[in-house]
Amino acid sequence: MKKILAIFLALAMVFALVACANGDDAPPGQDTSPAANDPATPAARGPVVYVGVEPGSHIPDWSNTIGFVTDEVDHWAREEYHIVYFNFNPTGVTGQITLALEQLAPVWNFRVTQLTANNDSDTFINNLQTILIGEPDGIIVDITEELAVRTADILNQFDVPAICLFNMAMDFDGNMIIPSVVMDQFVNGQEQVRHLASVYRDFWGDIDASEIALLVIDFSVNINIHDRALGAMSAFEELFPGNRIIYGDTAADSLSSEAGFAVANALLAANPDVNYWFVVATVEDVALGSARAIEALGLNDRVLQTSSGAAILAAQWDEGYEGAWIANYSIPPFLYAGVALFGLTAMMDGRADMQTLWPHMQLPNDNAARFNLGAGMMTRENYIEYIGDFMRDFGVDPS
Amino acid sequence: MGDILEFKNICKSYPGVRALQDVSFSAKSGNVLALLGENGAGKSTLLRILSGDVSPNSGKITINGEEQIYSAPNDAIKMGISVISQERQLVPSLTVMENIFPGAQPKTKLGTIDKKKLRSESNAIIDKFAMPIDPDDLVGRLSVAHQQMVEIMKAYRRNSRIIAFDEPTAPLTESEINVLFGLIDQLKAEGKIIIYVSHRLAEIFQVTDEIVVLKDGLLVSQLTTSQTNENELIKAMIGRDLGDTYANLKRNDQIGDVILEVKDLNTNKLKDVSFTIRKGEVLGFAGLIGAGRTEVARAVFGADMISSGEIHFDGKKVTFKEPKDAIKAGIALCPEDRKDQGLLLFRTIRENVTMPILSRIKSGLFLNKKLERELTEEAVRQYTIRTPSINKITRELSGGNQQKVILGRWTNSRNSTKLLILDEPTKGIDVGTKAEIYQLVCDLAKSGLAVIFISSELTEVINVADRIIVMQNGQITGTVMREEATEENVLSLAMLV
Amino acid sequence: MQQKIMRLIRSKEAVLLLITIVIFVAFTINNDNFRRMGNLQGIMQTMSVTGVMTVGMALLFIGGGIDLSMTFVALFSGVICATMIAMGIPWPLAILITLVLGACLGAINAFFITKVNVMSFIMTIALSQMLQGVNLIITNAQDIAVTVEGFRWGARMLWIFPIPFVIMTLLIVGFGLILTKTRFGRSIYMVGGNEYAARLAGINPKKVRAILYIIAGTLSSLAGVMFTSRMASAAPAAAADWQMNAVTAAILGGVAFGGGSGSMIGCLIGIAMLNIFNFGLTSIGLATQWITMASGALLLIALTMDFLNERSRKKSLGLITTKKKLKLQKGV
Repeated sequence: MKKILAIFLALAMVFALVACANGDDAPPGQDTSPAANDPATPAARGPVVYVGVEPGSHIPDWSNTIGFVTDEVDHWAREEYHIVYFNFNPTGVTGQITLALEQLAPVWNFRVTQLTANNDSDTFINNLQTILIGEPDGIIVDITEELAVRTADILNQFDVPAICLFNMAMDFDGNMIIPSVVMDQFVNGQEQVRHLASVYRDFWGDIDASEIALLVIDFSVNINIHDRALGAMSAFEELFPGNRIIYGDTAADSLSSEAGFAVANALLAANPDVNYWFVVATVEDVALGSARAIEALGLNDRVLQTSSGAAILAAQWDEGYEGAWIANYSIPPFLYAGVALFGLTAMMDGRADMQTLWPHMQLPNDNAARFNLGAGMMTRENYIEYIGDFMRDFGVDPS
Repeated sequence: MGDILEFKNICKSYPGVRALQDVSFSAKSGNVLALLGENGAGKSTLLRILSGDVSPNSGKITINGEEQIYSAPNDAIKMGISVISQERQLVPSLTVMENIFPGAQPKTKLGTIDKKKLRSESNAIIDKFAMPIDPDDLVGRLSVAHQQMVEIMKAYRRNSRIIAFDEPTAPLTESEINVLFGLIDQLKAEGKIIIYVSHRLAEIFQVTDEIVVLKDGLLVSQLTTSQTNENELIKAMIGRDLGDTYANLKRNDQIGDVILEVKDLNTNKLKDVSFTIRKGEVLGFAGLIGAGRTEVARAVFGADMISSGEIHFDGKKVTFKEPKDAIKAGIALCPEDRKDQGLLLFRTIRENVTMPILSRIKSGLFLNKKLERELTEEAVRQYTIRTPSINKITRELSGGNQQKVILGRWTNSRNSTKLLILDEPTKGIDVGTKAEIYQLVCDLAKSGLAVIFISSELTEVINVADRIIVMQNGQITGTVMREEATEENVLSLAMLV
Repeated sequence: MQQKIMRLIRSKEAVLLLITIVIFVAFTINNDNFRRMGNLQGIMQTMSVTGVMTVGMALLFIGGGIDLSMTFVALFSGVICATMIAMGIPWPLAILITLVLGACLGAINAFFITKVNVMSFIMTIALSQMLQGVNLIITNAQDIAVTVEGFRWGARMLWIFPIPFVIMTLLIVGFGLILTKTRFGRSIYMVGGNEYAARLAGINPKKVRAILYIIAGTLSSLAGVMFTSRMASAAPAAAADWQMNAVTAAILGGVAFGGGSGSMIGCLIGIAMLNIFNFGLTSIGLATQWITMASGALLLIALTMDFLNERSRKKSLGLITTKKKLKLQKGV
């Protein structure tokens, strides 16, 4: 009796799910949730500074050069600064930033210590205060949005200058309060698709463009990553109107390569009638799994994949990878670290403070700058120089 | 193979209780020896000593003259002792043959289990005893009777020379019991020493050769089954002298209307139970453990589900879904297990007494402490609870006083109890306090309460109650008025089938 | 013989197999492509990593324990293995050392759980945390790529089966045989099913459990190595749910949480069921919220079935009576 009940339950559940998905009358893989169909315009972004599109050029020609590499300041005419890099959650990227800072340190006369809040808000606030009591000269901090106001208060209390990375530090009205160096995620997604659109003929020849479908692998619970997906879909709709878009999400699983593999495998296999694919896997880890799935399904010659990040793909290329993952939108950590460093130095020297740094990057209601980093695509041909150039720009020898 | 198992001067005490005092007897191979006695006589303690679970304070066990010292049950097993208890020592997800050879399965040359050999050897034992079990059956799916058989086969396979059965027939049907007896006969023929613990006289006469009667931890008599009869056994089992106390009890002679009527009550343990009780009456329930008396109490109190039957209380038909309903109607139960189910051991007397009536001693949002104190002091006086203060933690009281606290809880002036059910109220209490409690019971009856008095101590029940209902196996076997009740006739009603 | 077949049909595992087939058929009807070879190979690949862990977890469940350090033992092992290969150690040796390391981690669990009597739940979570930290320290949160071609066996096939899948199957078969055919295997059931009875039979429950923890550690290590090989990259902090998947798969496969019953075949079915389920849901494009809910529902069904099974088992042993507990305190 119990067993029959169990079988019945399982059956009922499966059919319910299948019916649920089919009821939307969408081809397999299409997500009709509002988030996907509505490329929301992110909050006002301010000018995007494309840094490194041409290796070697990295600042716009603005008259006020305070806070940039080329402002003529002798960094050795002062004593060593102590900078703390305090991140909310240690991830691959934060590790790279730390590395970059450590490499920059001997060149630009400072020392860096690194701390983390292990993904916990209370720990973050407590540690921040502890750090500030130790009187560092400056802080490079990466926060979550909810903590911005509180962090700014504490910083102002202690009068220590800071720069934020990755997330914009805004108050509740959306105005900046701590200068932040961020990547424009929406543009990130767009650029990836634009790149694919500009190079696909080199791989596939002159095929009928209407046969290309887009597979986006998102991680929707993280707003930054989600923005990338939105950007990609928006650009694709623009460039290939009417083509199929298939939306995948690893949020139900995890942000890992295993999840990427599973989702890519499932969705690619569910649509065997698609002849050509653009795959935008929004995070490198996920992209790695996706790349493996593409290999396993034998689709390497019909798929072109891009992602966002640098280290994993570069490592794959070092190893000789020649598959469908051809490029990354990449803002190397050196760029983040370097830009933040110089902005911070200007503040530590007293030549600017949090409100007056990078004035040309502030919107009318802002109290601090939003430095939107743009970047280019890192491909197999240029990746070594791409990364190397950034290092050189900031005075570090890439070898 | 003539083994002799001897118990020599075994003494075992627990704090406050002397479980066994200087018990000596012996058992021979090819013989079934019964251990007979009332609850608390010491049978289970003796078995636990035999199985190696506990050690005696003094005295020894010898097998063929060799002293046995067991530090763990495993030692006893190695010496050839198997105790088949009421809880199965089997692994339900494994097969019968795995359970017969746990840890000792025959191996192949590769070191894996030789399933064929395991099966054939198991079959050999199964066939020897002609049991209707397949070695590949999952033990979890077998009936209780068959599980018991698996245990016997396990004992046999271990070459146990001594096999003890602890109340084996409790979960069995009649035909299953006969099969069991057949097995026991076979084991006898194989020269095993069998110890059979039970309180069912009929069975003892069916299957045993010798009988050892225990009473209050003492060995009262050792008899040969064929040379004795039921009456003699019963006589040997009873007898506790509180003679005078009973004579001096001031009883209630004002018995009023019927307050509780139970008609054809059936639960999963009770069959067609019907009785009535009147206000001011003390109704005793006698019987052996497992007879169903506690179950009656629980059914009336709403703690167990009733499958059929009616209960009328105070003139109205009632169905209590939960004890809460019964309490509201005016029924109170003092359970058998004072400590686990009755008292809040770590709280004070005051808290325990007022626990069920907190809503009635409130003033506004808060407890009226003065009222609480008064009620508690009233209880202390009424029951002569010996304590320096009402704020003492009940755990520190003696058993007798603890019981009084519980009584105080249910019968103080704010409580409107009409029917009080007492389940083994004098368990573990010294003789002096017992007498007090008997008088208290009678006093309560005088004040108009109806009291149901459940006890396994025969002397107590027949001397305190006005009327005694005797139960066995979930059914009422008879009713006796106090004037006509003797220990023998009550015990007969309780034990004889 | 006929009895044996009858028993097989009535067994728990048959029911589970039936459910899995039902799920598979349901998805296939919905989307014909479901059945194709590429998909199946992909499913086989995703099955393998958690599958290997499920074997370890199931063994522990049967013996009455649990190991929540598996995910990080696996990740840590991947990191160590990749680091060793990067240092130039030949990869077969690196794998071997990693497995030994996994066994040692299992032994640490075993020691604290059986000798110091720390609750298994707590101990394994503690180890997990420590490894998490160690991982970050070693790698500075970076992934480590593996550049040796020979090590990439994880992505290759043996005939039509992915190599990790083959490994998993061999382990299932191997442990299945141990469970059913050896004394040790039987003793695992006894320790989990009725520890007192096991002791009376001369088995040492602590020793048995210790061995199981060591096995679990080694298998987790192997899973980590397999994962690294497949991805050609070791991730120190992949936020993956591997051990919860292993728990779910074990329970789905009929391995009771309380111990004493279950089989390797059941495990295999459980793993298959879980992965087919997830794959199917993703491929029909179900939104993630629904997938999470559905997975939860599946686990709930599995647990309910498990609970019902346990109850009937305990009842048969006389360990549960049907009396309700007396609720005297309700008088307030």
